[in-house]
Amino acid sequence: MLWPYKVALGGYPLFSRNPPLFLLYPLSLRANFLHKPGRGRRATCWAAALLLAACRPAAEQPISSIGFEDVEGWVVPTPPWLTNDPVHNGRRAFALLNTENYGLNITRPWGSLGRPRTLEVGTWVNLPHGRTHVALIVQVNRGDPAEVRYYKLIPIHEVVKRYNTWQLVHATHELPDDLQDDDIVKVYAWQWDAHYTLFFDDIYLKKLR
Amino acid sequence: METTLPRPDAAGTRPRRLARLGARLAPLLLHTGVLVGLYAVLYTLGIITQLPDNSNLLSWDADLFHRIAQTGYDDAASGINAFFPLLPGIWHFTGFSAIQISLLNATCLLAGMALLGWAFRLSNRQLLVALSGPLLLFGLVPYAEALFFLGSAVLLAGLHRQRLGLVVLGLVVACLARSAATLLIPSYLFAELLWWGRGHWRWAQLGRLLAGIAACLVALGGVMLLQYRSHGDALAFYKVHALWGHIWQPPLLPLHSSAGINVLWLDATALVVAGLSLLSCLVLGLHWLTSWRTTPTATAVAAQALPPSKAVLFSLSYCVGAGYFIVFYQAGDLVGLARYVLASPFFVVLFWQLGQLPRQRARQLAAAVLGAGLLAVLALGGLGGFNSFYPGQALVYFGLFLLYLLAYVAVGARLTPWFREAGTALYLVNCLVMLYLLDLFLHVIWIN
Repeated sequence: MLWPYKVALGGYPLFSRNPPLFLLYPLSLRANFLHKPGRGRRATCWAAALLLAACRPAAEQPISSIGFEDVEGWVVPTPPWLTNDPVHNGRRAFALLNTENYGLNITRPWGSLGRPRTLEVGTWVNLPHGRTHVALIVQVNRGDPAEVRYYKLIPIHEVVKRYNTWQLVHATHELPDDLQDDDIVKVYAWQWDAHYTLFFDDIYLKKLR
Repeated sequence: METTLPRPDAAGTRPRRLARLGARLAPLLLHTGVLVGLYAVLYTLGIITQLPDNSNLLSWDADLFHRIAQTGYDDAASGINAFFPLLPGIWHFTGFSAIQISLLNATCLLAGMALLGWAFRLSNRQLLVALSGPLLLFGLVPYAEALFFLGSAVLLAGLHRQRLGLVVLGLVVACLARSAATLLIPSYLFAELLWWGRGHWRWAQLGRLLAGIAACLVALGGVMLLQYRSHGDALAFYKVHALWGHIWQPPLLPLHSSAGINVLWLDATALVVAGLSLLSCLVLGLHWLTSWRTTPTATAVAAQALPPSKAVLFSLSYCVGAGYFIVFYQAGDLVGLARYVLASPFFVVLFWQLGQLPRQRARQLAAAVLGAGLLAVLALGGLGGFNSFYPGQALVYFGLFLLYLLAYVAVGARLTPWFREAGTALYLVNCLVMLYLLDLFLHVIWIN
């Protein structure tokens, strides 16, 4: 259990062969393991490399994003789902009212999104408490009547555990290989069981591949 | 002059017995004190925002148990038929409030744990870590978990100490407390069959086997009769599963828990326990198939070629059954698995068994736990497919999950020189998680 003292006293130099990695020494279960030449340092480097690689932010820009500011003024009277409190960014957000099962309803042809094979869909949500049951659904339909080519439901309440504050939820979707340009990509929210008013803002779609 | 002196043994025995009893009860009292103290501190600091009362304790299934206690089984098509009558019966006849029935449940839970401590000679550390299982919060609220825990503890004590009376009593109580006969009967068969012809007269073994199965069937028949007399449908408890959509289907990947990420890691822990239990059952079963005709020699006995305790075999089989039911009947939703496995005495027995393993075997088990944990991570979506987690965040989440798994093995099998410190840390983390989950439960937030 020497590492705190060694770090405090400069025993592990800040600019040694692996400069910032000494911070990861506490992660090791046995400090004396690190004193064996080579093994601990190598393991720490691998762990750090994995961690850094995993934390690298995605560089892709959204192919579509909606902040709801643009809707203001175009729909008269202002619909009840267009709220100005709370908002994540800008002046307006979307409210999935406690009287509604479905909301958002973003619809775009697959071709106009740049023909994504791997699509990331995300949104900021604001839930009042943990008793909600709400999901963000991505669906791809073909033709009329619609034939469902893809469907995935992301339960938002399973991952959002902080309430009355804005939280980012997102998921990656591997779309089928045989999609056509006029297939319709739909993104919508669904709530079931007891209904509450929930807020969404800054929804985005990113083409990852 | 004639004087009457106390007999030397009588003078020494009673205080010694009292001291022994006190020593056995000490970890239970300590745990009660720690939980109450932690709850008080967290409430004072405003981290926990409400105290249990007669209203918020009736959340989720507790309300259904309360309804059965009030009205009985009044509807053949209702989900209440899945809840077995032992807890509602006690509630009905005592007329207790929700707080009082919770206190009774807590007492049953502690009694069950004390019984396991006696039967398996659990150390204080083992007892405290076992008591701190986060999902044991369901033994502190008006659920049937505490009575099921007590009944199962009696059963396991009977199996381990080879007392048929305890086995029969435990099976009856457990089968009356929860709809678990479909898990208990195969587990009992497995435990008895793997000891078939090992040191006992086979007719006696057959008698034990039939007595255990009869106990389950009598309890189950009693429940069916009760429901038949209430609303005319003796199979209502079974039909409820179809009502809830519990039909056999391959699991949808990635696995998830409808209770969310704050319970998912516990469900995944239970999944690892169930997976490794399946592996153990297969190995033990194969060994039994290849050697059941041979009578064990003195050498084999000395080399520990006999199967583990029947209680361990039963626990392994139960965990396999619970895992199978959740994975193949809930379409990939793991919710409930942690409650069925980690909040049961079967997990306590498996935790005890860790300490019985030779050092080399324990190390192999730690590697197997790590491997099973990584497989569970993949089944949950891995680093790239974990909903709403970027890979770095998922790495931290799953890293902590694997650390939690390894901590149990390290503490149970004393694999590290720091096992005492690790045990204390595990205990405190578990207690905090338990209180956090209890707070969510009292806020009517779905956790299991």
